[in-house]
Amino acid sequence: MRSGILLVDDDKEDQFIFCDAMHYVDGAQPVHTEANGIDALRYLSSKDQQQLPCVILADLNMPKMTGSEFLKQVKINKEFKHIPVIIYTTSVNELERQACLGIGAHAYITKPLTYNQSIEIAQMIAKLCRDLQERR
Amino acid sequence: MYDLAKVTLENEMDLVLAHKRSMKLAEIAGLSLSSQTTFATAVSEVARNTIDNGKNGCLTLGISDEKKRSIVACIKDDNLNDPRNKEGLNYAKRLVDKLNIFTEQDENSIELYHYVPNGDKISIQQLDQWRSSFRNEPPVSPYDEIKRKSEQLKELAEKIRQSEDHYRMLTDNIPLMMFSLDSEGAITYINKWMLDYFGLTVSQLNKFDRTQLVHHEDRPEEETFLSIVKKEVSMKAEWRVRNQNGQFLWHLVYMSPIIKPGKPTEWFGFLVDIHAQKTLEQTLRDNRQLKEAQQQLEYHIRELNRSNEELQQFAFVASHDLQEPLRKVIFYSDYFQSRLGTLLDDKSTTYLKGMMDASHRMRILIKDLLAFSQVDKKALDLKRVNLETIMKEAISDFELIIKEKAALVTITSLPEIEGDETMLRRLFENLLSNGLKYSRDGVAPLIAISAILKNEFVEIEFQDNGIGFEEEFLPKMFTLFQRLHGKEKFAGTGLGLAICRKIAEMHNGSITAKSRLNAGSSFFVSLPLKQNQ
Repeated sequence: MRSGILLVDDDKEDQFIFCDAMHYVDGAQPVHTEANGIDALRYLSSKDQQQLPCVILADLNMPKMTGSEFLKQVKINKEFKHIPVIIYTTSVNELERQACLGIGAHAYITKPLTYNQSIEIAQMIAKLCRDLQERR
Repeated sequence: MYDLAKVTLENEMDLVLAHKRSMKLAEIAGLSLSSQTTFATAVSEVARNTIDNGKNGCLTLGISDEKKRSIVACIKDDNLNDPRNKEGLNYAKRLVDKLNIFTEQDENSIELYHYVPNGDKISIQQLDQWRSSFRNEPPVSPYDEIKRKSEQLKELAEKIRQSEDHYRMLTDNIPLMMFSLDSEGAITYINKWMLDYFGLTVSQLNKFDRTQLVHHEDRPEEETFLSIVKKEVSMKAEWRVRNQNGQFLWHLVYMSPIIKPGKPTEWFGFLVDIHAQKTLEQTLRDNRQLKEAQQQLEYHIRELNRSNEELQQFAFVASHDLQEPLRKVIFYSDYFQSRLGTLLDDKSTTYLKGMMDASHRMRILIKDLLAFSQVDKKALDLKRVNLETIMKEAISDFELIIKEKAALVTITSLPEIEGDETMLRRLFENLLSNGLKYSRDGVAPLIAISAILKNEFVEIEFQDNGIGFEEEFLPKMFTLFQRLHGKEKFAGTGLGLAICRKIAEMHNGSITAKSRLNAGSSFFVSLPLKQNQ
């Protein structure tokens, strides 16, 4: 049974904000963070099927490998291509959004501007996780 | 025949000379006195005939070339009469060893021969001696003397004439204009070329104001022809000189003084046509300048393109990189407000709110800047688009605000045009936003959107019942960051209309507006139906 969320983001503050928000949510999920796409792929490869996260949250602007590159890599990998990847970024760029959805992103959301927004996002992700787990 | 002496036969006096010379010839040839007389008589007879009946007669005395040497008297004249019938001729025939008559088209020729004993022993040197002795023989009579001098003069004159002719032929055939001047600058000679060029003779040229023949831009300043001539120094110049057709053609003008001590200075000069070379020179120069200008242009275009690209990049990167820290500021200030709001006094609360508002404004400004920088011609995705569809989509984006303000937006039918869907939607959204934003207090906004076709353009009108604006601000309104109201009353970055104009212009269209304060405004967007690229 899969559990947990993988957050791929090089920004330490954003990592903290998300994890903090998750604490205050019903049905909070454990969060594992990686700072870039390469490390994240290595992490995923090291897990058995049951230990894989149920949702991946990925930023776009990252060093070593961009978010869309990471997304592409996940979607062509037999082992983890079924895991929904949500692009989690600062700016809303219509072209970029279309491109990411085209590669196979589950959703494309902006990072929160307010505290309440951060709670809402955490709730939404946690619910998504629960729904996926229930389906299994 | 080896010529020894010549006598022209014009009158009776010449007859005497002819007789005397013939005698002498026979004498030096070694003939007896009687032979001499016989020979001389024969010559006289024929000569008399010629003088009486012929024209331009001439007697030539000499020695024949044949092995059997004879003295020869050859009498020529212009053929006027057939000499054969004359008595004198028959008589002469009997006196000589041989008589030949030749008649050609324009000349009679009668030859009298008298054999010379031991003629084969006569050498060339002897003949030369005989010839000089004839030449140096003193005149036999005053008439002879005068005649001789006269003949010498004629010969000299002929030589001079030939020499002049030769000179003239040379000067007339060299493709140069040649001229000579006297010490006062008056023209003394021009060659045929020069005559043909100017169409003026020497005397005409001298009467003429010659400075008129030189192009006014080329005329040497403060110099007259005379002053140049007085300087007695060679002169070279490139002038445009006028020909008889009024054309000014480039010539190389060269003039040189011929200085002879004690004599007045004469001048010799020439003009060479260099018009073709000058024209070529000018063309090459123009060409070079054109090439340089072209290179400059190409360089500037490259620079501009590079600069443009850098700017685009900068705008994109800056807005991206600026958004991130800004978001943090907004997020953290929001956290403080919601978590510590109750702990703050009034002023702190106000300042905290000020901080958040400022951050929000900055965020919108960055977004607008990004939007503005992205309106780029290269990025125009031209397709056939339905303006009505786009307008309806834009209106639906404002659904919430429309509901909030109880606004009413109406549209008439809009055509299809060639354009970029995204850009056009942004354009409409900006105008709608303005129409909704600048409404009058307590009056529900009314926005009427209509369109008319004008030539190859569609003109869309956004008419609202808002606060309006003073038309004197019209030019400023569409420029960057220009706002007509303080930021307290109406939120906005002042980029909206600038973006609208840029989008309209990217489509080769235009935008303008009309308004009256407190009586609403109308914005007119003109867009071509087709893009020609």
